[in-house]
Amino acid sequence: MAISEKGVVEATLLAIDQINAGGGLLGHRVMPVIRDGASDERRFAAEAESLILEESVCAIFGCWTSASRKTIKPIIEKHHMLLFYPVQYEGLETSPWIIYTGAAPNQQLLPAVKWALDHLGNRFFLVGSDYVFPHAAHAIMKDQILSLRGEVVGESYLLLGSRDVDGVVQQIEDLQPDVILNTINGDTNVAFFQALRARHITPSDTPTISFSIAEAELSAMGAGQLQGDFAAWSYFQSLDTPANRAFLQGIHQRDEAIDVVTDPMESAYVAVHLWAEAVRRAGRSEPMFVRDAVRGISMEAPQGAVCLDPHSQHLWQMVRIGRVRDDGQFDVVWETSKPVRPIPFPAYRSPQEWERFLAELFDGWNGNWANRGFRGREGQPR
Amino acid sequence: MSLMKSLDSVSAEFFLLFWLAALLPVGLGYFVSIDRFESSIYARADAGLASMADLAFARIEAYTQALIDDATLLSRSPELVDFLLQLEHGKSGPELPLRQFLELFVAESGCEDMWLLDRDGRVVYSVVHGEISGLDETQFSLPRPLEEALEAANTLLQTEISDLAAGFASNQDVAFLTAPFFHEGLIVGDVVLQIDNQGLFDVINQYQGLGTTGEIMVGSEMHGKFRLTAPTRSGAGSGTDMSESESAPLRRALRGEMGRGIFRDYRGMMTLNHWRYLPSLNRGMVVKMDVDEIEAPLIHFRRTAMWVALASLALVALGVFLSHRLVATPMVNLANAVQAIQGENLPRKLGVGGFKEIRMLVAAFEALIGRVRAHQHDLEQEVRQRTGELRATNHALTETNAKLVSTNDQLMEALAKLESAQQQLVQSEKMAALGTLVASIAHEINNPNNFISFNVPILEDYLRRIFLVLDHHQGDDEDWVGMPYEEFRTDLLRIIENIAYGSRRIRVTVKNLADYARVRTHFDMRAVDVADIVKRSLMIAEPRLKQASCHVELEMGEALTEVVSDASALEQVFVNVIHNAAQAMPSREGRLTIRLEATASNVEVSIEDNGCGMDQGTLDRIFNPFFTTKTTGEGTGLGLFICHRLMEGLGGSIFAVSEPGVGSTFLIRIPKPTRAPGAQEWDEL
Repeated sequence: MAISEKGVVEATLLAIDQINAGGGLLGHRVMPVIRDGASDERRFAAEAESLILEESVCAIFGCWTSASRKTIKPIIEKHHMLLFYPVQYEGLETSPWIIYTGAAPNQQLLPAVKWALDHLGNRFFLVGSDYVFPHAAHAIMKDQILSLRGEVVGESYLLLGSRDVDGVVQQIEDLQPDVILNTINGDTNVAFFQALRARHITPSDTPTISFSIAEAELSAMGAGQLQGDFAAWSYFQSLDTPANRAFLQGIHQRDEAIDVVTDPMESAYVAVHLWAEAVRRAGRSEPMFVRDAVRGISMEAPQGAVCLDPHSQHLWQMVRIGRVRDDGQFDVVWETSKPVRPIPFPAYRSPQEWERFLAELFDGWNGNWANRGFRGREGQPR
Repeated sequence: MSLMKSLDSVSAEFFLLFWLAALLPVGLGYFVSIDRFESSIYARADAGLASMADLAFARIEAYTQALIDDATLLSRSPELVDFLLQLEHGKSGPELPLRQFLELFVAESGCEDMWLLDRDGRVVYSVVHGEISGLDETQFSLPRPLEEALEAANTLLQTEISDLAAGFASNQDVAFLTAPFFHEGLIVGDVVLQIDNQGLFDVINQYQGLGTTGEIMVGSEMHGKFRLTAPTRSGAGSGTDMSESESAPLRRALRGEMGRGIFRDYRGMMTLNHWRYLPSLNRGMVVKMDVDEIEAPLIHFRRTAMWVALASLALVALGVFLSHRLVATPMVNLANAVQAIQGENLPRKLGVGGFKEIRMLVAAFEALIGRVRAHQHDLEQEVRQRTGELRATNHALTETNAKLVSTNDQLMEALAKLESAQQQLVQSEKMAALGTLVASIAHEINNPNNFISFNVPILEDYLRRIFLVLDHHQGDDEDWVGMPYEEFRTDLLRIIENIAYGSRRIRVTVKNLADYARVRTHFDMRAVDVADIVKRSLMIAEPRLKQASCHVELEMGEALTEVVSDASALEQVFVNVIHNAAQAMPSREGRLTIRLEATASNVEVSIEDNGCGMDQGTLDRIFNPFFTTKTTGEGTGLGLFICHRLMEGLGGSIFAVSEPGVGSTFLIRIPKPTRAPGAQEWDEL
């Protein structure tokens, strides 16, 4: 996932550069301190503690997987530090010390499912990596598919990083769903799509909607195999808005090597600017004051108007469905008419119910937020 | 001219300087304070509007959130789901308790109406407008914004708020809330709440803290136009379309921007705007206030500040004027008064008025002038005194100079005397040596000559006696010794006579030499009458004078010619000179004039002849020893030399003037006795 995360670091630094170029904050330059979690939750926890205690940072921007976020969440909360989390996730979580600028489930999963029902068919196959996000996402989507009279024909999980995908693809070939909902994260996707195409499962008859594949992943995997498949994001690089053009230009000026820009990068970029505006409004940078000030702040983001919801500390943002082009970019085929309210806990279950669901997952993985292979690779969480 | 002159003054410079010096801080203060005040009131207005915007944002979001919560709760009500399902199965209306609850809910929740929609989107129940329930799509079509909201709600499985829908059941645009009903996980329909516009307007339009012109505008974009959601305070109704420039802040808000800025609003007024994005309503919100109202205190302040600044400048001008009156003018007067002082005419008072320091200055000047005057007086005194002293000094100098000249003369005279004395001394020494020589020669000559002179007469006598004998024995023609006797006899006698003569000559010469050598060593100084001595001298010299058949004239006045001197010495002198005169006049009618005159200190005897005279070379040497003009044998050349020595020895003098062919005059000066002359001792030669 380093490919994805590098872009996030660059987008974060771009926003910091822009703030410093504009005179800094409260008369000070913003100094970034960069730590590498190395896709290891324990390392994330240690680095977060170090940033707070040794570097005395005033905000942390980062984390990629929900596993890493959930690991450092207690540390953040214990030290009353602010974490800005830039990646779309499964929701089912709020924290007074975390600002979520990625999509909540209702801002990615639900619209995509509804759109698929309307446009692609009502028989779904769900496949994901075996960790907390896919499990939660699948739970949410299955509820929705059910409520909209769709049908979940199958569901499967693959260990993080696994390339052993033949079983799943065989299942898909057998079940012949109308749509594949893909929450696989990381390199497993390469093997998965290779296997699909190998069995002649193509977007024209069985399209896939992916929730963790953006431009960077397409670029790394090669767009060809995914051309015609779909992804749901709030932001696509191909958006033609003045704000996005400026953002892309800034990224390009910072690092010409970066030729793909993704939704999490945009979220990270927006997060820094929201934080900066909050610091300006609060007149100070302590997390307590910034958190109070950041609620309700809006800005003209590359994706359009965004606003930090005062209640959930998630971002009001657009929802878009894009179709993969052969050049690794997306054509937007559908978008909401206005920013969507973030609802981390989908309303058809109570928050308590969702939390019980997560607790079961956590316990099932022996106190982890991912399946580390203790159970079968297709093990069901429940 | 006078203007130029008055401009070219310290006062004018002070005026300019003070004005400039005052203008700078006053101007600076004016502009800085206005700037500060302006920025502070803008900062306050900004802060006020920002907090108004935050409050309005929170208020509207809370209001909509409450509605959303209400709708969500309604959608989760099992009773309503049941009722909806019953309606779908042909039931006409709710049971009374449910209807009462729904009517109460509509009344209390701030909604206009509540509809229940089946899963096909038909209104199956309306709390307020029962007439539309059960109508199919051809009879009643839902407003487009509501349809979109329904779509979103059923997609996202959550409560949604619609955009404004054009007038339904009223002229005003309306908005709807909608939430899906679930039954056994399936969407079975939707609840729709028509938002009570008045409630929303009331929530939006709260003007506490917004002064008299502040207002809150909420608007959205619809078909490319911006429409106001709620009527504004100044009367723009809801649904009012706004031009692009009028809606600039709204547009920016709708893009998600939070910001502030000054814009011209739809009324044409300049307004300070703060804008926010309202996510729940997907509207832009602008909280604004007229710049005029914000700046009202600034205008007042500016006016006050300007008056203060002008008053300050006026005070400065007054100060300069006063300083001109109190300082510069008296100074100019003082300068003029001092300038007017001419020559040495220093006045006691300058007659310049002034206060305090100026008065001190004038007094100081007057004191100074007083001191100058005193000093001038002292100076005059001193000049006068110094002039007198100078004159005296000059006089003394002149006298000293004269004395010096006379001293110089005396010195010259003394020098001449010294030189003469030196010459005399040399002469004396020479003479002394000569005298000694002569004395010894004279002695050696005189002794043999005495034998001659003593024996010649005897020889003559003896001869004569012989001749008597011979005469008898000798005829006249008889030769004797080669000659006739007679001749012999005569010749012999002549020889005897010649010998006698020669002896005499020797005696005289030796005597003279002795005289010369033995110049008087002792003078017999007695009171004598020079006239007597002259007469006696003439008598002595008479034979020579007669011989020269010379006429003698003696001129003697009544003058007393008595002196104390040596009579014989004087006689010797006079005789010598007379002899010389007689010798100078041998061949013609000579005339000798002797005059006696007496002056205060001397008796002068001049002896004048009309002889051959002397040239200057002769005249210079006549008093030298052995100088003579006579043929050899006739003179010794010692006469005048001895005279000169004698006169010197007597304290007098002798000198001569002469002209060749005319004659000579010897002047002999004998001093009168001023005191008893002591006898002078002379060394014996």
